[in-house]
Amino acid sequence: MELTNHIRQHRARLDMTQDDLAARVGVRRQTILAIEKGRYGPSALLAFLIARELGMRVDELFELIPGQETTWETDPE
Amino acid sequence: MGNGSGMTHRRLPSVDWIAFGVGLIALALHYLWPPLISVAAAAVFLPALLREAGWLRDADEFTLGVMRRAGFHALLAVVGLFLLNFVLTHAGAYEASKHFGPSGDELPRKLTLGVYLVSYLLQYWGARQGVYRIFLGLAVVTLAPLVGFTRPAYGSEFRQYEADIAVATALVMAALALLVRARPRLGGGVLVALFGVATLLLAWQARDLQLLRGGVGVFLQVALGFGCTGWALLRESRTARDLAE
Repeated sequence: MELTNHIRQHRARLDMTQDDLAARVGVRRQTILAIEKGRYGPSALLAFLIARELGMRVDELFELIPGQETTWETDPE
Repeated sequence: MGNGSGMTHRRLPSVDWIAFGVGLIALALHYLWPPLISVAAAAVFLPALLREAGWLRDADEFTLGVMRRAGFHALLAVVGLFLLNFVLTHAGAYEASKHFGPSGDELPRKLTLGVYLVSYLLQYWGARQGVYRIFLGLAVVTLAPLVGFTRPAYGSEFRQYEADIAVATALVMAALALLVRARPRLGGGVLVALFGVATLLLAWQARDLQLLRGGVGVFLQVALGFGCTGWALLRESRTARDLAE
């Protein structure tokens, strides 16, 4: 399973930059970039905060894509 | 989750930028005055040390994870070097193990610093941007000692030869950086191929233990870096392709 997300699309819908979103949830812009590119799986807390800022539910924003081998790695690569 | 203490709107926090600048200058100038390598080491590890101790609260969960993983990679590198030293000592490449590593105690210091820094930057910026900036930085660092060569006392023919080597190395590094930026997969392939050639050369040197002793140092400082950065680029390209499909 692969964790993917739709943060970029919903951020664009709200005309919000990565810097804006990062400031709202209290992380660095690079963290938002890493999450959007799928290089980093955020903690549940950060996922909920991002979803709240984008006016979405977590399960609408993050999605599990089947077909790949499941990994439990959440650290960045 | 970060503590939200006003650390946004910057690609790196100010402490990291200051440490990076000080470290880069110290690294470049340690060719002129070797003890400056200690300042470079402090610049690399001090922000991490302060964050881990809780005295510096400017990092979020991603940055802390990157920092800890880079530290783990550096630890693995040093443990690997200890094992390599043990094997080479028992193979007869060294007379005794009073010197740590293939080049005395200099190699463990450089390897620890290098692995931590490269791992941190590759994770933080991503492989493509990370490798591009690392190679560009190396090109600058390679050229930095030329400042010392411009002094009249160093104007000998030998120094001129060293300066030519430095310029050639910097050009190669800059070319690799540009290649990685334009064609990351190709760049990754080239770096892995260079690593492969270096591995074959090292295997060839293994026939002569004295040759091997010098070769291991070069391999760990140069070829291993090519291999790791190339592998990271290929891996990121593959992941991006998988996600796009």
